[in-house]
Amino acid sequence: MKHVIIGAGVAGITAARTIKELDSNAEVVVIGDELFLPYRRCQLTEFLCDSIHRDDLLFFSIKKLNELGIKLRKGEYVKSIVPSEKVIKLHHNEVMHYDKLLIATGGKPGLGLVLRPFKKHIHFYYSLYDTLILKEKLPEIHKCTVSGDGVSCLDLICILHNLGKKVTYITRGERATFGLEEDDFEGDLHEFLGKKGIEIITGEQIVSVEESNQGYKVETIQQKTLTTDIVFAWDFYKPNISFIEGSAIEKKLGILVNTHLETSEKDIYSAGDCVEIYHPSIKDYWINFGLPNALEQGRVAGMNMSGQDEEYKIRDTITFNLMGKSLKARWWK
Amino acid sequence: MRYSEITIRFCGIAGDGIVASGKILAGACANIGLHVMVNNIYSAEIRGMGKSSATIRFSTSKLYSMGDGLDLLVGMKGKESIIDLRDVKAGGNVIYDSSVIGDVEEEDSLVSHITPEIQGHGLPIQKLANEATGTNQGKNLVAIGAICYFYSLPPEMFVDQIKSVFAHKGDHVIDVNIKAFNLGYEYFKEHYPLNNQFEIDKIQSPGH
Repeated sequence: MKHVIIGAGVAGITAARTIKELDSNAEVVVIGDELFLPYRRCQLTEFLCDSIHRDDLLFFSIKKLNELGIKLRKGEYVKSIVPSEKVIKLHHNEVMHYDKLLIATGGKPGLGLVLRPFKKHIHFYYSLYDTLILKEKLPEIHKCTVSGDGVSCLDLICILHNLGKKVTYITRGERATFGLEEDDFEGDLHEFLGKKGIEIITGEQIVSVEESNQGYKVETIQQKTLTTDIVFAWDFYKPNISFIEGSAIEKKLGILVNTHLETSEKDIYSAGDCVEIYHPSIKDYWINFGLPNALEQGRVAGMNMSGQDEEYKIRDTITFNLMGKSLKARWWK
Repeated sequence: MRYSEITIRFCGIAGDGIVASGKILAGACANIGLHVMVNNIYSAEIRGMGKSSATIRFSTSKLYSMGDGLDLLVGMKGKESIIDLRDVKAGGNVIYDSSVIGDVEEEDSLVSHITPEIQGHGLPIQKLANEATGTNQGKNLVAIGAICYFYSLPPEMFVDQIKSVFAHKGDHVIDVNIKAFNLGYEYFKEHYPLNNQFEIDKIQSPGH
């Protein structure tokens, strides 16, 4: 039985390990688009500020892969899936057969139409590659401009501030909230960041980023001009599943799965941040972001791909730590 | 990573410009004072048939052998390059053509044989060469452009060498080959911006 797993993040690697633990004779191939061994994305910030070494990010060594007999293929992209023939096509036109397929490609940040033309001047803070580039540039950076949403954006603002950088945060909203439940923060997050020295510009939107003598010139929709050493921006974070276009795999924003993590196509499963799963409380599909969910979904998908009958149980909240404070996020709010 | 010596092998079939690749890379390195060794292996068969390879080792200090493994394998033809993967050092790199036309079976794919100890880098060699030259030629220059960026080597050393090697073929041939080189360089700059450093400033004078 050949199991092919697209995605070498937490969900994909957990599924691979689960399959091999249940059936050591199974052939397991994991295809990851990053150039690195599987690492903990959630610890990139610690690596950025030198709290941990690069090797400490890894959660699955070559030795462990070899011991379990998992074949990892790094730095490769899947171009398309043909469920009727049970094959996937890779970016270099290689054709690979599968018996069971898991899609665990996670989510990724992206830019909308307005900012896309300025992509080469804009940094993401998402992958180890992004972090390595940022780490190289850090000594020359003094002023940073950040525009985005979600906990990862807040995390970036905090780390840049803690590293002694001057941070300007631009948000379309009236307050800087990052989609968090502020009740858990014993006060107002917007005020808290302001007191920490973060400049917050509300009701605004970056419309252009150009190189200038002093780094970059940022223009906003209300014709405000800022100079900065680096620009971080993203308009959305969404499932990384463009390669399923043309297949009959059902999707909304993410791939739709049942509680066994099966997609609409036979022998194709999906897990992690690229999945939308039916949530009985909100009576709709929703994306179950975050590390604990990825771990659990990887385990459940691996079991079901090996012929077990395991159901994924939805978790309601994810807890984050921000400057020593515990925060809970409920993404559907 | 920082390097003071590098071993690169170009691998393909007759007609891929393998020997010319070695000549350009080795010549460019020698011209700026690096120590260079070259080993060409090619068959006596006609164009398009038979495997050929050129291994180039260059260093800031004197060389006495071809070394104990490859830092970089350039697989111009995937299937023919598979066996050469065994010579790539742990932590070494492979550049492969990601613009192959037609389906490739898993067992014939160079990429499918790359182990996690080695890093593969896709480069649309064929596509960029076509874009630069309008023909199937220039693939080797696309790869050399990528290598130039990958090891932070000065592009001028290659541009000068291209002008010298192709001088007898006229300006058009020089121009399209420089274009092929630039396309390879820019592709790697955009897709693999985190490059390595070859410590060119540590070149030792011949007396050392």
